[in-house]
Amino acid sequence: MTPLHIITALVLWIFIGVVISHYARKEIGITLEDFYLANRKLGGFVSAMTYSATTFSAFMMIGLVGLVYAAGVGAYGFEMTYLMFTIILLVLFAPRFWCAGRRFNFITPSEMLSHRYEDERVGTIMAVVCLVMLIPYTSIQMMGAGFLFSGLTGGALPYSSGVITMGAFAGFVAIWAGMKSVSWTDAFQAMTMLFSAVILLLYIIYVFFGGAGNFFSAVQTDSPELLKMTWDIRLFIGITFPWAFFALTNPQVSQRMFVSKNILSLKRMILYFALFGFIYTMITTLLGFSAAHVVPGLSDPDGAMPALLVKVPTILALVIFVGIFAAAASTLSSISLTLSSMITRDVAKTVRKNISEKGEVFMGKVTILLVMVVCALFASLRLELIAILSAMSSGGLLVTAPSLVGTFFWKGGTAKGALWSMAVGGLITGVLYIIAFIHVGGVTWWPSVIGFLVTLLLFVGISVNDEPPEGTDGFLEEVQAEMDEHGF
Amino acid sequence: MFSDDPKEIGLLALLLTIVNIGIPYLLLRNITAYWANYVFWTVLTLLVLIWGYHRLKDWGVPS
Repeated sequence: MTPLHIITALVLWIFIGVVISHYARKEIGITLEDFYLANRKLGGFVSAMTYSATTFSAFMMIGLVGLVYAAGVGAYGFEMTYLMFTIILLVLFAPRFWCAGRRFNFITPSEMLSHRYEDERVGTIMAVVCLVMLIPYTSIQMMGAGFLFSGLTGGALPYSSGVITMGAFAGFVAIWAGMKSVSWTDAFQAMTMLFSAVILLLYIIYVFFGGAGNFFSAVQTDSPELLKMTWDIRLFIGITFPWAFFALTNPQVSQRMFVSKNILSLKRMILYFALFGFIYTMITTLLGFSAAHVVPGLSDPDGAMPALLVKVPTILALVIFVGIFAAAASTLSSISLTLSSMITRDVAKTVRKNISEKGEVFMGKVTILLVMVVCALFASLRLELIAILSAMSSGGLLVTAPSLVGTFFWKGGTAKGALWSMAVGGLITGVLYIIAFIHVGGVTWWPSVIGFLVTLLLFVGISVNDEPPEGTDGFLEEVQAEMDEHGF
Repeated sequence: MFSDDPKEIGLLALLLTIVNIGIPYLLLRNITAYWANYVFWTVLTLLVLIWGYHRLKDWGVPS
């Protein structure tokens, strides 16, 4: 692919994204709820697509394809396990988040924790944990764009041009019209991701294998080991465990449980997302299997998708490139918007309480810009360590799970328990990941598991020796009343 | 199976965890065919999806 191909495809695609953002801006008001939650008025389809595009990053088409290519069906099990537990978590928590958000006007999940535990430091700590854990993960999205730009053009487009283009587009979408803009462009991006992946799979199946039947039999005959469960059981548990809680512990997705305009929209969000995830995961897995046959023998599994793209017509490769760019951009804009809301509401607001709503929105926009700059700097360093830091994000965010579950399901949970478990648990988990990296040289199973157990013990142990907040019963009764009123 | 009780959903999650790890590692581990692990996870996810649909469909309907 030439730089001209890449630039032309991106200019066209970004133009559509900018037009969508522009129209989204006309639809929003000036309040915080408008900016961060699209005034809690998103319809079912858009809610589902923004949930999907936020969840499924460039990891799917690059990382998962590579993981299937190298490690076979275990990668499919890992991704499907995530999806199954996300459906269960959404069924259990979405009504509670949605009702609590409406009853108490929560903007961020951390704000909800501050209210439930009656201590605003709880929300602050959660915001800080999320910021620390998500910055490397966010930077990875920019790095992906950098590697795609330089890799696909043989270095004619520099790595930095990908990082800057990605950051500028995702930042613009988030700043221009907040959640409305992010969710509308996410819907466009989710469709781009899905259809580009479907087209690529069909092309490969029919051109390289001569049909679906041949494809399945060729993989089974030529690469039978890919269909075996070769993963060490501890690694499978260690990697899937934090991802099973993703829907609850990652604020960029849990915040989306606040945004649906009514119950029908909330139901559609969950159902359409589940269908999207099911289809998209199957497609990316089959692409991984096909790569093992079409481009065998690669030393770097992450190179499987780029190697596949070299084998297909330029126009199709460009469509896929745009689909991968879309996946990364949507994740990036959503995370930056959510982090901005948490920093503004749960950190800055606790220091400057008298800041106006308009001031908060302005501060939020500046924060998005800062997040983008920090992530771009991180990405430009091209640290090897960033891979481990990114892996740490899912394990690190797991330390918020006990406090989040306790918000609705354990009256005995206290502010001290939540505070110390997140702060100390987060620190210990981070140190464990670094120790594991030094000794193993990569991702291993035990940091997330041990970090979570320590966090859980701290949360329960400290809480049972403390008095629960006085308003716990009142909070839970009000949430239940809202749920009863809406027929949950 | 389609209960509103969070405890039953927790129990379902526990059961799913056991099945999700137990069957691939105990029964399907060395089988090199699609009908083994690949179909297992496809069907299991579909079952959870159907379960989710049944739980969702009554939301918003006064009991």
